[in-house]
Amino acid sequence: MTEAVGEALEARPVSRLAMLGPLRDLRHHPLGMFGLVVIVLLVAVALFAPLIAPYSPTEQNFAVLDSPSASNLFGTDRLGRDVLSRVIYGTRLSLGIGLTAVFFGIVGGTVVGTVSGFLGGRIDTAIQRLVDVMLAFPQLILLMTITAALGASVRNIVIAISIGIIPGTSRIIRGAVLSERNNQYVEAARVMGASDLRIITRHVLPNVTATIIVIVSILIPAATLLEAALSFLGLGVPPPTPSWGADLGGQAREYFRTAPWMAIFPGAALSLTVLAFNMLGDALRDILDPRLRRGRR
Amino acid sequence: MIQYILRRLLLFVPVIIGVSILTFVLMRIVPGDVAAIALGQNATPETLEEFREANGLNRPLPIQYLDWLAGLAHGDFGDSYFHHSAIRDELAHRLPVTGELMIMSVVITLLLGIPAGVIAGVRPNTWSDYVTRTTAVFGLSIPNFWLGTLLILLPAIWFNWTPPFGRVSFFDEPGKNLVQFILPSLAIGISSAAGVMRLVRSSVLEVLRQDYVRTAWSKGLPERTIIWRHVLKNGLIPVATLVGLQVGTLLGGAVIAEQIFALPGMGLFTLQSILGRDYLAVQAIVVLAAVAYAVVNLMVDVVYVWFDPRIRYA
Repeated sequence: MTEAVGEALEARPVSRLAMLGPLRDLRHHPLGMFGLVVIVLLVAVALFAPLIAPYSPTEQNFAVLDSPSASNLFGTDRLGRDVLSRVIYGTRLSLGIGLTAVFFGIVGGTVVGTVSGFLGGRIDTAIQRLVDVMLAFPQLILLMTITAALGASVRNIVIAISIGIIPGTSRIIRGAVLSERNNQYVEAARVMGASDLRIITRHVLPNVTATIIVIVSILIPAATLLEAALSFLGLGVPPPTPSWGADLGGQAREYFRTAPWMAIFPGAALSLTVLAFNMLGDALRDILDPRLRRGRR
Repeated sequence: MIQYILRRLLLFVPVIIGVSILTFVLMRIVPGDVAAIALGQNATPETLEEFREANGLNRPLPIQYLDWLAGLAHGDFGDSYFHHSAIRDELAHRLPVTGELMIMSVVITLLLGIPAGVIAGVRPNTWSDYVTRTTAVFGLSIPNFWLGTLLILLPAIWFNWTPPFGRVSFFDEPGKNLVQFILPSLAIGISSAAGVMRLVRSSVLEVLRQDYVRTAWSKGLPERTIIWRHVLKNGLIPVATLVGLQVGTLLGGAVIAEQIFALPGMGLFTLQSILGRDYLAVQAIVVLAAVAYAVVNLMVDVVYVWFDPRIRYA
């Protein structure tokens, strides 16, 4: 009992300092630290891709299907492009789409969830029924339909993934807002004459920050995988844009048997990215979620 | 109980109708003329018009929707523009394929996830715990389409062995059928197994601290009995929920695995239909998927009662 109270008290300052505290606590999570380092490296690779990549990712400069060698470390693909350069440029697309889509999705989900949970009543019911409908779609099929409807481009994939993220996120945020709404500090703020908007932005949302960070840590790897899956199915970015998912799908598959490096390297890069985000996310959840902390012993 | 199930079934109806309206609208804003795609290059303006007229594509959208809904009520999904056949027949061929894929991936999910979770949870912070947890993070991170690709590629390179592609019926050649399904099911099931493993681990940790487990220990029961009878039975309740929620993910996985392993199931049909602007087929698939999702999650809630007799549905 006292343990639970202690943890509840302890949980408050964590959510206040949510942006800084967790990163400091990462020292005690070697896997999380590893994830963070890999992510920083990946971001650097994405930012400086033109400086790092030995060749152009789209120009067909070399003999086709050449195995890895000193001049082409990851070999060449069926069109004579340098696989290493494509993998390096692929980082831009993968991280770019993953992070942007999660940003818009989480903002959308937070707005919808907060409005739904805070206002309640008929607006809440209407929003939640729509969320029910969207959650009844298998996510990948919903995204396939949206990208088919909008057309394949980077912008449209970001839109599709953001739309896919909103319903689930809004439901979790709604739950968190509902449990905060009836707290005394909200009542106190209201008595002092604070407007709804002020209560939401200054009082409720800061207390939901830990929840939002946990959701983001789950969503980033998920969104990265969704982009890759859509591109793999031919519904993602159009060729010749370097995308790890697209390079693993389509006609390239016919050459994997003779040129396995075409399949190994983009897939490994994608897995490493998702792995790094998952490891960092696990550590952050461990730090932020007092219930998990108790479970860890 | 029966009353509860009926009420839940009744609640599906508005959700399913919502899903069907949303799909209908989405498919109609898809650019690309279904008539042009279905007729191919030999189409003339006259034959295109004829095709639209014959398939009712010139009528107002609300009428088209209501007409489709009326057909649906009679179990008629309409005709596929792409395959030139009744969608119902198409589904009849394809549902068993995806059904088998789903069942096998759930079996793999549980067979790998539950024991691994118990091993990790019963001895927390030992090497066996670390090994299983690290494996689980890898399992969660590897994309299913890359795993599927490797499952074909690596045996081909190392042993010069390729799985038999396509699909034979289980009742004709059970051995070959299982070989055909095991790799795609693994490709889909690994990440779910990793998710289940983590949940079982934390659930077991939680249950092990309960008073009744301490009582069981002090009664002198052997560890095996305590784990099986007390810990697992209570620890598995959240797993049922997780598996129910993963049906959507598994269906998405089927789209990918059927593409890689050339299995003629619902997933491949979905991809072809979306790319071919086959409105009616996509509508049928999405509605069926939503129904499947709803039914599985209702079954999960019913199974709860068996797991936990304290739960009662009024």
